[in-house]
Amino acid sequence: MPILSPSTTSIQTLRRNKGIRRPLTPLYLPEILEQILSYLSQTSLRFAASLVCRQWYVVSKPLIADTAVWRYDMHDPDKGRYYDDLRSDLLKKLDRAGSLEVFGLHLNYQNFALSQQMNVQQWQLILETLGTMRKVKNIQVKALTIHDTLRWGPQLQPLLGHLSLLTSLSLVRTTLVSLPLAAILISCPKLQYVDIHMHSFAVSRLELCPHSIDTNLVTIPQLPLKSLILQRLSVEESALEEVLASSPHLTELQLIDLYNPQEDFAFTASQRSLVSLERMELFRRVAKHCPKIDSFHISHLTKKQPLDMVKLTELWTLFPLVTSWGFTDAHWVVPSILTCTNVLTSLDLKTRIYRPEWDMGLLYDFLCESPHLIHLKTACMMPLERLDLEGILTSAGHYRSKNDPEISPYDPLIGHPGFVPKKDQPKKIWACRKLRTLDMLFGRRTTECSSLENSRMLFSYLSKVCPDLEELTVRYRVLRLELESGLCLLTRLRNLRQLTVVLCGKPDFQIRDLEWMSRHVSPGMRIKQFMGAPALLAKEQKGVDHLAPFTSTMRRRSRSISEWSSNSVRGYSRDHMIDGVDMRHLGRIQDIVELTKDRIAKNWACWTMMESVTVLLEPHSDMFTPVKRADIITVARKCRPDIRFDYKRVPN
Amino acid sequence: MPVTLTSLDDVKFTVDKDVAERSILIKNMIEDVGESDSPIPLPNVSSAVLKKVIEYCEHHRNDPVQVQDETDDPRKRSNDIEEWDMKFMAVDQEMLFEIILAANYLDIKPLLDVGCKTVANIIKGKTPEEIRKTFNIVNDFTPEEEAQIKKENEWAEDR
Repeated sequence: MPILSPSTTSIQTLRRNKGIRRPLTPLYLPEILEQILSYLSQTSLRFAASLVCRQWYVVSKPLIADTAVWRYDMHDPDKGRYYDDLRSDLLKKLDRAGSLEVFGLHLNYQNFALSQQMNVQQWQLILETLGTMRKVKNIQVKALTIHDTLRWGPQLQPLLGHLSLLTSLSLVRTTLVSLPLAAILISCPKLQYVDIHMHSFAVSRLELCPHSIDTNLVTIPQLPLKSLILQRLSVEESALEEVLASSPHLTELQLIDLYNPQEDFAFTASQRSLVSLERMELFRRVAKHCPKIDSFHISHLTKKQPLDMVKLTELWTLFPLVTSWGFTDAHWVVPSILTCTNVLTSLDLKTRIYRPEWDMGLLYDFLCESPHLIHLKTACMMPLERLDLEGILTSAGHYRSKNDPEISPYDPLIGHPGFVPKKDQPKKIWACRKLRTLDMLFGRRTTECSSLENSRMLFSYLSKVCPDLEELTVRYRVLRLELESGLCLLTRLRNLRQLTVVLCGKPDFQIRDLEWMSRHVSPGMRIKQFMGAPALLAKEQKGVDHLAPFTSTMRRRSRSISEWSSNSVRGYSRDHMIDGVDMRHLGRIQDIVELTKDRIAKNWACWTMMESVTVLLEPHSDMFTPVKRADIITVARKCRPDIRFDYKRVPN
Repeated sequence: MPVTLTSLDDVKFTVDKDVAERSILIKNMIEDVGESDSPIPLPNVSSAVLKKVIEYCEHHRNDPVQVQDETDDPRKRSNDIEEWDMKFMAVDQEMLFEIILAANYLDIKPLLDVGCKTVANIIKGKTPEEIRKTFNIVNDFTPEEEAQIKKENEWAEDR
């Protein structure tokens, strides 16, 4: 129940008070305050804005959107009561929910028949509940996500009929035999974001409208659609085109794994692909219908090798506004794309490229030449060897000892497969210093070892080189999350809003390893005791301190000229600055110590923008115990109630 | 054809009609009155603010008129302010607020949007106490109310 009545801050009252509340600020006008607050994240609304004063509370309240979740549990023995609970819970939550998420049974072949049967019952219940509610008031749900197998006529159609305010629809890993796209868009006229991601491409077919309706009678009005994502569908080209022709505001289009329903299944995926350079006329029409597209993701760009560069160039020119290209299964296109480093601000390479030169660091070199990149998602592997600029780690990822025979101390990188730099060769770091989104897979070319040093190198590098990151996903099979792993180094990323780490196996962290996430460092924290941990530092010194400082490229410096010239050797200096970034203590415990000292001295707050931190374990990770999970979530939430902390397996 | 605008402190500004008509209020006034040489009085806007607003309208004179309403957009964001607008909005708080009020009064939606986004960016990452301090707002909650809101807004349990 709301604590305060909205009438206490009505516009009339405020206008009456205008004379005495001088100077008048727009914050006293609820309409303007509402607009300002509508740009805030759910975290800021819940934990900051609504606690400022009564008026801010009243204005933020309707903006706080809950998600009503409907999840079917097939194992519950008392099904009757379970349904009653679900129903009353849904009614209660829908009262203030801005979004609805429906989880059915996960579709797999063992329980396919069963889930179908259960679904009918469940769906009936959801539809009845929404129907009851709608008689009383308009349902405010604006976002709908369905993870279930479903049918148009008896399920999706009536559901969408209840949710006329919908602006965002996601069908995630669903199966829907016939998908009448135009009918969906017409029944929810406010839809702006549509993401349809089918479970298996063989089953679903995108059409204009259900078979019972004569397509000639359907006229699509102009649609407000901004983003259309279609994945794993067989598509009637004319249906897709008619929808695009009615969507002049479209800015994002993803056509991934779309097939021509007429093509024979005996063909390979790329041969059946609906979207390819061989069908240039389709691209031309899309460009004409939707001139505002600035993000375009496609798969199976071409059916045959070698790639027709003339056509690829035509594709670039057809979509001059696109700064975000995404490619799936487009291995041989990638090298050509990489020549566009000064145009691209956003790149999404969805599948891993199995080419040795990629694993050897072509991606690293590409990033060193791409200063304009802002968003990067890639399934290509970033070799950790390349991040280790000083070569302080062995090929397995442990500190190299002084007597390590593997390399000579002054040629630290010799011995890394495929990468033998000359002595005194300037080291390069990524030029994409303005990255805001990064989703990247890390690994070692040789032995994969779950060492703390490996993880620390990764976190240390990212925190120094990409300070503007807002969304970060780190995928590394053997990632560690203990304090010594350096996860806390990511507190350097002041703008970080979302952090996801994906790993396999056991994230061996203790509850106390997360205390550093608190806004400020307090006396009892382990991170403080750890600062003086002599054993660790001694080990580090024994291992790495004999190494010479490395050579920097010295394009920009923060130190004075006189210092620079006294240090310089043949035009560049041997120190720890590279391209304006201080790379001192890269990958070392000392880096954590220095950062913590700075945090204490300046008392800066940790991750003020952070909304969610998620630890995802790959499905076959076997060390997953629910008890520990609950403990860790409790501690993390206690440190930071404003951050959505989650720790779970990747859904199968 | 130029149009003359008069500010609160009686300063006259002569601007091109297409610039003045970025303001829907002025556009409607011109339409209502018809062709006329007499200055348009804007008694809610001071000359300092009006000068800024005109600077904005001149820079954006050729922008297409905003058709789509963003009210329903679930992905509204405030980090998409253009560079020029960002620099334009780099003013002290008092001026920022005055610009927002003027944009609201003159009905210049894109300027109001960019002003609100700028204030949202100031709020982001701050604690309630820091927000109060920044905008000089008095905390009128009782401790019990504060505790209850905190509880009310906790993240729902895991799914």
